[in-house]
Amino acid sequence: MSGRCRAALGLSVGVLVLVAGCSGSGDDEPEPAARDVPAEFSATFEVDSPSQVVAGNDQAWLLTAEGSGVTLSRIDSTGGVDEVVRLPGQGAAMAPYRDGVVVTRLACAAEECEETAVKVLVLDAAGATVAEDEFAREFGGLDSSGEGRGVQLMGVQDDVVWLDAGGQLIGHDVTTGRTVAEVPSPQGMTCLLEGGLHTFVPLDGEYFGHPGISYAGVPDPQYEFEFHRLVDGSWTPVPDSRRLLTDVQFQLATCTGGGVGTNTARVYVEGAEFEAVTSVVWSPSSGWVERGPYLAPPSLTVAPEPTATGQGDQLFVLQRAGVMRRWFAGPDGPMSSEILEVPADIFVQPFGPSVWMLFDANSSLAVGCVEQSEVPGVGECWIGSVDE
Amino acid sequence: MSHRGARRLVPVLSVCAIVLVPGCGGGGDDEAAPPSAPSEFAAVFDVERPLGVVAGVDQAWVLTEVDGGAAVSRVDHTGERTEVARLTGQSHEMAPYGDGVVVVRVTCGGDDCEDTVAEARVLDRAGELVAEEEIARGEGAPYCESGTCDTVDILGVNGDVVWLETHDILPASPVFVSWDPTTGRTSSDQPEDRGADWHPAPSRRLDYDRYQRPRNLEFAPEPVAAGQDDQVFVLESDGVIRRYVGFVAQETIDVPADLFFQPFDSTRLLLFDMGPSVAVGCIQQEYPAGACWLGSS
Repeated sequence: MSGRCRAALGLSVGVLVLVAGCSGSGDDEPEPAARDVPAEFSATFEVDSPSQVVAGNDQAWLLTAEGSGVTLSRIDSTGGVDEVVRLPGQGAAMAPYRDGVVVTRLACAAEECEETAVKVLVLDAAGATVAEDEFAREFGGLDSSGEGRGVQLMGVQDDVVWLDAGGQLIGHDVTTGRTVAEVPSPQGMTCLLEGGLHTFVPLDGEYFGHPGISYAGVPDPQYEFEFHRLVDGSWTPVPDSRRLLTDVQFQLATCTGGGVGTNTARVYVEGAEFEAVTSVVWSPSSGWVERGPYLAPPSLTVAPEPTATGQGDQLFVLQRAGVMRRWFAGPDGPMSSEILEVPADIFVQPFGPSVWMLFDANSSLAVGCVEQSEVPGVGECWIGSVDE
Repeated sequence: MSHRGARRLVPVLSVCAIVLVPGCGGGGDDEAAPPSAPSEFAAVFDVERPLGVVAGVDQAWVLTEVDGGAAVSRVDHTGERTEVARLTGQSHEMAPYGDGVVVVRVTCGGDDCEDTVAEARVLDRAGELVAEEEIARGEGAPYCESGTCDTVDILGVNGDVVWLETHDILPASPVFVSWDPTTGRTSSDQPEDRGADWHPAPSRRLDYDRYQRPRNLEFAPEPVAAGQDDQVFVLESDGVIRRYVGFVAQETIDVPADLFFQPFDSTRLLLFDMGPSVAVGCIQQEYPAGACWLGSS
């Protein structure tokens, strides 16, 4: 399959500017940046144990599990895999940053792993190190269960990497190396949206200690919630963001496509019928709007659609072989959607066990991998330009 | 088969190892050694997140959970607690060894935690490290989830030799390992017969039901604790702990009733041990606080 790269001229200019902005990228002579990329390209490649893909500028970034850590690689437009760096540790995740990428992880920070710290690595387009930092250092080693102090990358905004490290929300400026914010993680879902971190706060005193969801036929009680935004280290109410929601909506809220979705995707309707429902979504720019449905109703004749999350909390849904729906923060607000054509021989969900899918896209490039259940650990991947 | 692990002995081992052999008196560091105890004493102290207690020689040892691992403290006869070691990892356990303690744990191996190692170390009566040894090593970071964990247990001390058992670290599990801190020798040979100088460690697999009264809705099940040398301690009533050896009931021990009580509520965590000179115990009425007491025995 081939695609057309849109805004190719603007992109190439942007890359030059961004590289200039990343000056001081270290003593090492950087490897050549991505080669001249054709307007349209499409390539497949195979990797072992993929864990995340990120669409970058004319290239993609790939994390693969490697022993006690991950390996970060660049993927060019021909599907060539160029290993950049091996990173020991746990919870590695990445997000695009300028023309490169930011990788965060929890890793040992002392001899014999007596201490661990959150480590941040900033790479430019060529894979050269722009910045490297560590913070939130604590006594104690790693454990493989995930029950210990975890690190969850939320995203990058205005040079600040936001992550949740063991229940602390931390904002770290990669240009200054300083932690600009650190607050306990609130109870509700926290999302990095336009304007910074936002969380969902129950206002109704009766919410706490309520008896749980109701029995069938009895409507779930609703409670009042409000969005708060982190401003100078304090959660500040967002005007006109209050809404009545059920506990299930609150508990299952997700950061999706530039907003916060509050509905379960599929509901059981009286009479043993399932139907897809719209999602009640909020974003700073749109307020409360309805979007979706983004998943098809359950059916005994069709396997559930595989989903993947990409940069900016985009949601990718493989609707059928070769057809990927992208939910993103578009001009129409949160959870705008469009269809991406992808190779049907790779991106396919057979009527069988669910496949494991990774996917990401930006305005010019898409990349994804699928692990079929019969070949665990092997990712069949694709990179291609995106039609305008 | 006999083998030597990745042996790490601190430089003072050759001196202190002699001290560690039961019956050899003296301490490695007189200044750090605990004060001598009077013939009769009693004191209370508080800890957070207690994991284990050991009655030592004129002092007690307390193992507490800390973020990222565990801490070992010694407690003198006045109840003053001195932290002597802070150890990363999981599955921490301790038992008496000479006039000190042997402490085991599962932790990261390598500077990047590429492996899981089970490690044992001996602390002298002052809490100084005198020997440590890697007992087992497996690939990947330590694992513990849904009750399936990489663990190491102290079975007991047979003369100078510590008997250990590791779980889930090596492909074959459990694996018996013996370690002689005085020579550094380790072995996975079939355990020999226990000799006259066999001292079983507090058991992690105590069958509490066998020490409690028949279930009754009128009272909560009694807290039960395992101690050294097959001792078991049962909080029979407020301030009264019954000592058992095996399943044979022995005398009762008076402890502060304002600390050691079992309300009509969930069964409290009880830790207790008694040696020739000291009895020590902690009870956790409300997590994470533990109220503790030690006294002459």
